[in-house]
Amino acid sequence: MIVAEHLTKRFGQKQAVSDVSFTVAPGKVTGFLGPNGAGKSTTMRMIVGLDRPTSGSVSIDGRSYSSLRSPLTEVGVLLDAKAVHTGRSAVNHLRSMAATHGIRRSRVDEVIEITGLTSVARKRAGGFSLGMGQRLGIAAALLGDPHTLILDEPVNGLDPEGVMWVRRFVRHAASEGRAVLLSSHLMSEMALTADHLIILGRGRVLADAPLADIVEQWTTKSVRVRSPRAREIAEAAASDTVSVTSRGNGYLDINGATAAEIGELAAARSLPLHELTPTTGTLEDAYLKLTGDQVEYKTKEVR
Amino acid sequence: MNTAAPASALPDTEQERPKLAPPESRGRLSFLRLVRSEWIKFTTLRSTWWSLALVAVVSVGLSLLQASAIASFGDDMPAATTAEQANADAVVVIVFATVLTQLLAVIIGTINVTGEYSTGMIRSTITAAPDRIRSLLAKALVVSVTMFVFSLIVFALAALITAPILPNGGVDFSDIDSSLMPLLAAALYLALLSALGVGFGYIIRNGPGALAVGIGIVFVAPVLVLFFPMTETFDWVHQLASYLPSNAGQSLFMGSPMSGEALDTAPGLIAIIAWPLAALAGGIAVLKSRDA
Ligand SMILES: Nc1ncnc2c1ncn2[C@@H]1O[C@H](COP(=O)(O)OP(=O)(O)OP(=O)(O)O)[C@@H](O)[C@H]1O
Ligand SMILES: [Mg+2]
Repeated sequence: MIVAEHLTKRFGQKQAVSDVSFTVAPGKVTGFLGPNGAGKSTTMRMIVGLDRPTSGSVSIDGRSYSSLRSPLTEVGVLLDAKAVHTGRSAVNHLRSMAATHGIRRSRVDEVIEITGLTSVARKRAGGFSLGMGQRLGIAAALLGDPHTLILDEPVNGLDPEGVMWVRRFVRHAASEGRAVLLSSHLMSEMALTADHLIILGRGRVLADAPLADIVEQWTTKSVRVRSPRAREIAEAAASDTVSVTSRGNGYLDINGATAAEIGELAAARSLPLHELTPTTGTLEDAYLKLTGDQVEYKTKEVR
Repeated sequence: MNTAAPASALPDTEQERPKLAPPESRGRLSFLRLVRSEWIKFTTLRSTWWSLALVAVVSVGLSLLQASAIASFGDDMPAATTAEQANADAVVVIVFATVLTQLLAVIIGTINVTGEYSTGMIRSTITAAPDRIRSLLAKALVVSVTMFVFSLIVFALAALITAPILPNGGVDFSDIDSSLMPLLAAALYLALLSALGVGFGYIIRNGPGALAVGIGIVFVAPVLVLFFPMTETFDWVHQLASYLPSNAGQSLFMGSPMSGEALDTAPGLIAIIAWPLAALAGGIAVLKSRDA
């Protein structure tokens, strides 16, 4: 369990993280979202004692990271930046990390196999591709079989098979009662992986709630209807609480009524329906709405 | 990644929560283990072996050159009057190369640290040992003990090779004070300089910067001092220069330093120990206070 209380980090004039409080509960995958520069990586570095908070505090299972007696077996960390000497082979890097805690040598071979590094284990890490480097970082995080996992963009650079592996791995880890904090910019992946979300924007917490609640609250449900007599359906359905948008070609998007209500309304008037599909918003929709005005580094609209 | 392994290990329901083993059953941090880790890190970099090989080649090579030069003077050389004098000559031939290998010692210590900063490895090191101080001490210990033992081996090699060439014979180890003691002092000196390099590495973090400072203090400063005239006005410069690490070291094992005055054993030893201690203390202060 990670508990952050009023975490604040300033770099010179730049307020990277401002008064951030949250809890990462065991048994769940907590997703950490936010635009570039929102402060996710900085927060994660503060959790593991690499950056000292300007104010506030953070604890893991009730203790500060730097006072843990066996940090690697309690917390596994994957940072956003490379954290491996480029001149050392993967296996020697992992051996040196394992040695700090007297973790048995067979565990090194285990994590190499789990992360699919066997064929390059004896090659120097400096020559690794982005994905291979990422796998090595994940292997190091798993060395101590830790109760808490902090993974900063673990799927960054991974191939689809690796992405799926990470998803299954963290779901499994959470099911065993581990606490997992995971950041990613891949919304579709996050939607499949996380139970709970913490969304940051410009160093502040914008939302901290179960994934389903966030999607529910920040997207609108609508029903897509297709009918050769769309105009009549639109006229019949529209009311103070129901809005209808015509998409042309006989398509309508109806907000504020359920598919059942629309189906019955059409049947009562003998209007044929060729399609009736309830649609819910995606996490991506919710995220974009939530962070819309919090994006610091905005891209220009493509015309 | 191996998709099959975790999938097959998935429990049937998410409700079924196996109790996790306590973390310390899988391993626990200790200073000795950090020393072991630093040893693995030290020996698994090619740069370590290159630097040590260079120390051996430069050291033995220069000793050989020096011995041959002495031998070529042949009978022009005054025969050593005492066994002590003969020993002193033979020892100087062996430790003479420290003028250059002292730089390699500083470099080995420095890049051991700055290489971690430039590659990001330091983040792994610090997350594994978050109190930070113990990993710094482990690193300094591994580097300096290795340097000490390796220097002794190289000196032994140089002694063996130069003995047949020297007109007055090799080192006579029956008189420990004039044979073993200066060799031990020279090895200790190189070991302490590598620790000095470790300290500078932690203080400055940037490789070229740390090397510039280290080489400046060890190599350039004692030469610069020579440019100050030997007058009363500049007497203090020469006095102070005696306590530069290289001058203090050379007082101990070569009798006379490059610049400054020769120090007695006790102040000489204190000087060469104080420098790396101060640098490591500075390194600890920086490491503890700055973000990694
Ligand atoms: N060492 C540092 N010195 C100065 N500023 C920093 C430092 N580290 C981070 N920052 C600034 O703090 C802010 C937060 O950065 P951070 O890396 O935590 O964002 P992030 O949410 O992880 O972004 P991304 O999605 O791009 O990874 C940024 O504006 C960044 O420029
Ligand atoms: Mg980041």
